[in-house]
Amino acid sequence: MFFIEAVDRPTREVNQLIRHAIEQGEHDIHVYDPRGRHSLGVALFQPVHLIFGGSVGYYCGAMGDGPTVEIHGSAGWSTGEGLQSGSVVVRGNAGNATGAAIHGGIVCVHGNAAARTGIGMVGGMVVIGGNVGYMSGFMMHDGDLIVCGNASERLGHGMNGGRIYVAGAVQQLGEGVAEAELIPDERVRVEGIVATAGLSHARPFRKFTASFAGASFAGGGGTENGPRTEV
Amino acid sequence: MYGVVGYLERAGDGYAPIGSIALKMLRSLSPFAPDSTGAAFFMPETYGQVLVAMKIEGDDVRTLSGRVVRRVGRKAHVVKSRMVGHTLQLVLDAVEDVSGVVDVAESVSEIGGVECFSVGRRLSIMKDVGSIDHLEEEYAFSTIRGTHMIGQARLATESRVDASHSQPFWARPRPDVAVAHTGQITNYHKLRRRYEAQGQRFFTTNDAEVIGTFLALEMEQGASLEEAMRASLDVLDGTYAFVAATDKELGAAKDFMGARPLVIAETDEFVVVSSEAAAICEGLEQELVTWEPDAKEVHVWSTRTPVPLNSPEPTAMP
Repeated sequence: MFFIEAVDRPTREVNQLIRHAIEQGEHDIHVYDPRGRHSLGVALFQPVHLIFGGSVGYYCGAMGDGPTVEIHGSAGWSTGEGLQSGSVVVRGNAGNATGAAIHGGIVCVHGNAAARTGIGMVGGMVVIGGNVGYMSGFMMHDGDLIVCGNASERLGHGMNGGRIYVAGAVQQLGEGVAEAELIPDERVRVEGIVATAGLSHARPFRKFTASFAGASFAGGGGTENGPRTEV
Repeated sequence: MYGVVGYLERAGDGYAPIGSIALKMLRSLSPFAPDSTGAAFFMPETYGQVLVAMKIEGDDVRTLSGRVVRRVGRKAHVVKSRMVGHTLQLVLDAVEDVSGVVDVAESVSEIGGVECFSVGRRLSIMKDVGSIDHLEEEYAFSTIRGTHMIGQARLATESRVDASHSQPFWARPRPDVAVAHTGQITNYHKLRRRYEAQGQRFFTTNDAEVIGTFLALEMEQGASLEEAMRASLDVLDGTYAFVAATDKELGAAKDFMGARPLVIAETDEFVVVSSEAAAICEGLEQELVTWEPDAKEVHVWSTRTPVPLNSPEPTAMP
């Protein structure tokens, strides 16, 4: 385990230390006391295990391709944005646009995530243990947005693909979104993802997809909406 | 725009180190907000006294401030006056009618180079161009104690960079109400024209000023801070988050799209709000669980209001 004390260091230096440690062959890197700094641990392309011991600011773990990033605190806007593969796990709450535009991998938040969670997702999974805010899943193209708690207004507004699963109440669906049948195999798959993430849900999941003709429904285990497409 | 901060002591003796908390929180935002900085502090009340903060600018500040003190002195006994930076801070004694002080402070603001920054029994607004460290040198934030505060560090995008356009703003003419925001109020000009037609005065072209006017007018009609803030979300268009405070409360609100950052951390002892988690971490120097409210959410917290010093009332805390 390689340790970095972030408290008195600027963001650039912390990121340089992380990269230097990776170049030196370190696989487990622990960053102490990040104090809400933005853009920590971004654009990492190695299967490194990076732990932040405290809250982080915007874009933590964004644009990664392979890292496993753990945040032992809360996270700001756009956590894990643009992730290609790997995972970003927030043990606390997360801000707006969590998991925005990810292409692959998993962004998981144990607490609540704010507005526009999972917007513009192209693939991968965003898994939220609590509630999500306004317009989550906006303009989703593909992938899975799984919400163990409640969803706020305009869920999935303008989505043309992908799947949204919500176990709690949905305040309002966005335009072009409808509830779809959740077949048993798919339910098992979603519940398995949630359990693997160490989360729980009080009520059964419901599934929501794009409702208009011509939407690119990508499977989720095969539903009446169309065949499953692996991404 | 840039960042707002707020802190409220939920339980305590009313002498929380709000100045040093504001200093640390605003310092963490200052690299992104070089233009101006300010805070509205709610300090312990001395019975019967009113605090007035007036901006004084001109070639002869000494003469101008003397005129202001004499004019205000006709309304109430000025027990203390001092120039700090651009601001003349007055303490008026034995005032029963704060609205009378508001009237005279507003009339004094008709003198060129003079503008009333705040009036209240507990409120004092301190703001100026430059970084928080500049304000610390001038105003000694780190010595200020009280129950709660709001503040803002500004990156100017549309209106001028001067002390007047700095935030927070007093919600004139309502004593002890202040507001600070981040973002844009896109129907600012329309609202301003409406309020000016109703006789409201504006001293700047900063859109935060119109939020203060809206809150003041709603509260003059009997609305609570929370009711006024909720009503504001239906009237104020744009993408913004704002903090507001009365002598007893701190409030935070987000626009209808939740398009501006605002994070909150609460404990049994205090509530802290900021547009950035970094300001909370730096201001409180501890790791706190933060969360971000959803679009259209309004939160208001109350502080225990200490009985005024030298009060004829019993001195036990309510």
